[in-house]
Amino acid sequence: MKGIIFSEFLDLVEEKFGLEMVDHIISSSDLESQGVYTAIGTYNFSEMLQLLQHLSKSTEISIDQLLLIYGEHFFRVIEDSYPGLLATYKDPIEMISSIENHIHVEVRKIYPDAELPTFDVLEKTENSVILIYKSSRAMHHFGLGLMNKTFEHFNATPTIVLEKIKEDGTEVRFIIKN
Amino acid sequence: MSQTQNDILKRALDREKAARKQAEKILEKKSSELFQLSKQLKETNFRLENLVNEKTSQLQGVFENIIDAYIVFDLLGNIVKMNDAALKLLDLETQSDTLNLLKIAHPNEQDRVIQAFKELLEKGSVTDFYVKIITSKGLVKWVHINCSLVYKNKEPIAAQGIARDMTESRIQDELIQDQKGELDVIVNNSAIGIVLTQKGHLVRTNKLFQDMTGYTEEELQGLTIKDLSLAEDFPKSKVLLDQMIRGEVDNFTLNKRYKRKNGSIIWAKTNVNAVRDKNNVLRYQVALIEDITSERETELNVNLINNVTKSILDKTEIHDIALEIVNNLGDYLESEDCVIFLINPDTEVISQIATFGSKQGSEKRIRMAKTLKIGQGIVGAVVKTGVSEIIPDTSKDDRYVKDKVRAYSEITVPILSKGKVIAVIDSEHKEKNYYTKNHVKTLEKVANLVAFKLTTALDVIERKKAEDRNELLLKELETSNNELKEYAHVVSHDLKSPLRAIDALTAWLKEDYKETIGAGGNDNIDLIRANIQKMDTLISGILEYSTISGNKVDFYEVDTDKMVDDILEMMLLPPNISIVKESDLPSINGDKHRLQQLFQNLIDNAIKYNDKEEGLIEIGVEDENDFWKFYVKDNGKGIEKAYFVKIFETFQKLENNPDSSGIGLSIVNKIVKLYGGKVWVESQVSVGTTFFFTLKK
Repeated sequence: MKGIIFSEFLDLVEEKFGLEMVDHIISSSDLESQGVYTAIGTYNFSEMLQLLQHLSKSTEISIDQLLLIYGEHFFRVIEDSYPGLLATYKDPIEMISSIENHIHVEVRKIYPDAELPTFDVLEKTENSVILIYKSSRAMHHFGLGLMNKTFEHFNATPTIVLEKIKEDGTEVRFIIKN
Repeated sequence: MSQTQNDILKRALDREKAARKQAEKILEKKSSELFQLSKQLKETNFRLENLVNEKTSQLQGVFENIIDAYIVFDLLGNIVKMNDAALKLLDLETQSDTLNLLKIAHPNEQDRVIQAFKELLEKGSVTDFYVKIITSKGLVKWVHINCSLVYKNKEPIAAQGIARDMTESRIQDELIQDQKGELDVIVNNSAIGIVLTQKGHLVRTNKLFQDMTGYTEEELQGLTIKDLSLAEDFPKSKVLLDQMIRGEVDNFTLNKRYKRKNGSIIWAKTNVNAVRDKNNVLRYQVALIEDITSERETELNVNLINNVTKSILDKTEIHDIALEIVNNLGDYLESEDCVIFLINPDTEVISQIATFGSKQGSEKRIRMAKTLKIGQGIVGAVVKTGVSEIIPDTSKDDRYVKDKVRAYSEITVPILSKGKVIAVIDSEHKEKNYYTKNHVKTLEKVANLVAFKLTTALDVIERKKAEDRNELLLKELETSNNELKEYAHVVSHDLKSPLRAIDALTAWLKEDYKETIGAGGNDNIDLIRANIQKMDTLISGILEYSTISGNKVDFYEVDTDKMVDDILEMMLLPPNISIVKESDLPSINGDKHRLQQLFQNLIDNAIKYNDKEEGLIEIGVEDENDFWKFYVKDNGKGIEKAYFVKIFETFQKLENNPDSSGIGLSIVNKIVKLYGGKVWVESQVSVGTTFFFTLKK
């Protein structure tokens, strides 16, 4: 997992819960990296899981909820770092539909070894889209957070229904209507 | 700030430092990788640059050294640039600025050039464009052009073209055409048929072959070897063709038949040669075909005449002769049907006496074979006219008499003897137009050849018939002769006994009743007795005559001189008669009894009919080559000339003398004839008579 996911996560934890919380979840976890993350490095996903579990325990907020917030937070990173990418889209449905074919292609240019989830478009109309999310990481709520912020960015208020196809959350259907 | 907070901050700071170092390390590594990459990139660029330069100079070289003319021109057709080959093509010394393509084109080609230019602008290229141009020296050249547009940023800015001078090759083409024409003249005037075939199909044929087969060149191109071959011959040529296809032979020769368009057949000597490609695969076959129909015909004719002559040489029976003829003719005509009909002039019936392929024992079949009346059918017509006929299509001839199956061709040739048709040769064939004039000629030759032999055979038959008839007659004659002889014998014996009884009774009557019956009665009795005497003589004569028959009794040498002496001695000569032998008589081969009868009869007559006071009888002989000529001469009453012949006939006598039976001279006549001699008489009334007769020595 790319280091930027860790570093941005820890920045968010520090912003929301203070440096003590950061220090707490790092020292509570058994981390190969000793909690040292740089955006361009690559780290084990299990470290993220441990950090999330400890944060959830300490704050009594569910992991999905934490991921949703993190997703919403991560949109800002995209907004700040890659404004050109967002500028090429005029419509949120259009942008979300092209995650697989455009956005992830751009991601791979910067992080060639990134392990990305897949978003297959099942159905698409002018103002609706059905996507199938697949990832061993089951981080669908991170995606949901990103989507929420995307619509917000385009001043839209859609309904997003999330249906788990597999119980463990590795395969999920997003039904989006604008 | 508490200790805990300090520791937290310190740990956070440590993490940050560590993160920075880690980041720096990653960046260093990436930077080094980047450096390596850029170095490689530079090297690659350098190599590419060199390559580009190389290619550019090569292209320049190509442009200048290209053999074909290369011209770059703007979209209005003005020449911008050209290579040396182009200068040479257009007969230019240096590059001219103002030359337009339209000006180079031949005046007649203007429209086509404009059309091609339009096509170039629309489609971007023109290929295989042939055009006539006029060079600056006024020469007309044929050029072949390929050209295309040159683009800059997707916009056409100019055009380039490659032109090749085809004038030479056009001349070459014309030369080849000329040579091909010459070759065609040779091929078409060849005295041998020439055929080019590919996989059994006729590709090309020459005039002679077309004339030979009667087809046009176009008709032949649609045909195969099989179409032209006779079904019987095709398997033979197929075997050889297959050998050629497999590469086992490169040429072969065979004599085979070809079907002409009109259905007739020609014999040809065919020499086939293989034309192979460089992989030795058969591409074409060239066949040289020579019409040998007439040579073959001549050879066959000679063989046929020889064979017929030889085979009938030792045959005498008409069926055997006819069978040999039809068997030879059938082979020659290559027909399954060949027949000889014989004409019976008495019954006017024409009947088969020999059919081709039949054996000696097929008399029965021939007997069952059809017969015709003169004038009936084609055969009957030829019997009537005596003129040969060919029927090319029997279905169009009303006279044709169908046998079992219809044969479409028929040939009928008469066999003539002394201007009369004695027999007919007839052959039929299942195909139309089968028989030729040559066949007729040959058959007529054969007919002439065998006519004499057949006539002889017919004569033999006739003679045999006559002989049979004679033999029968002879037998009948013998029987009736024997019957007659027996009859005569029986009659004379049976008649003699009552006669003797009458004689005895009349003698007694005269003796016993001499007085009673008176002078008149006695005279009548004497008359009766004289007649009885006469009748007895007659019967004895008949007996004697009938015993002389053709049956040759044993012949032996008889001394006629002694024999006549004996006769004279035995005879009671009247006193007024004297007999003289003029010469010694010869010895004769014969039967003494007969010869004695002969002489005795003549001497008796000479005595009996002598009325002179001094009768003289002379007997003599003269030598007449193979014969002795005897004579008995008297000086008696003589015989009238009118009776010279009649006297030799049976029961003819000149006087009513009871001692004369009228048979004497007929017996003489019969004996002389039996001995192969003649008898005749010379006489003068009241002067004398001489009987002559000849006997074989």
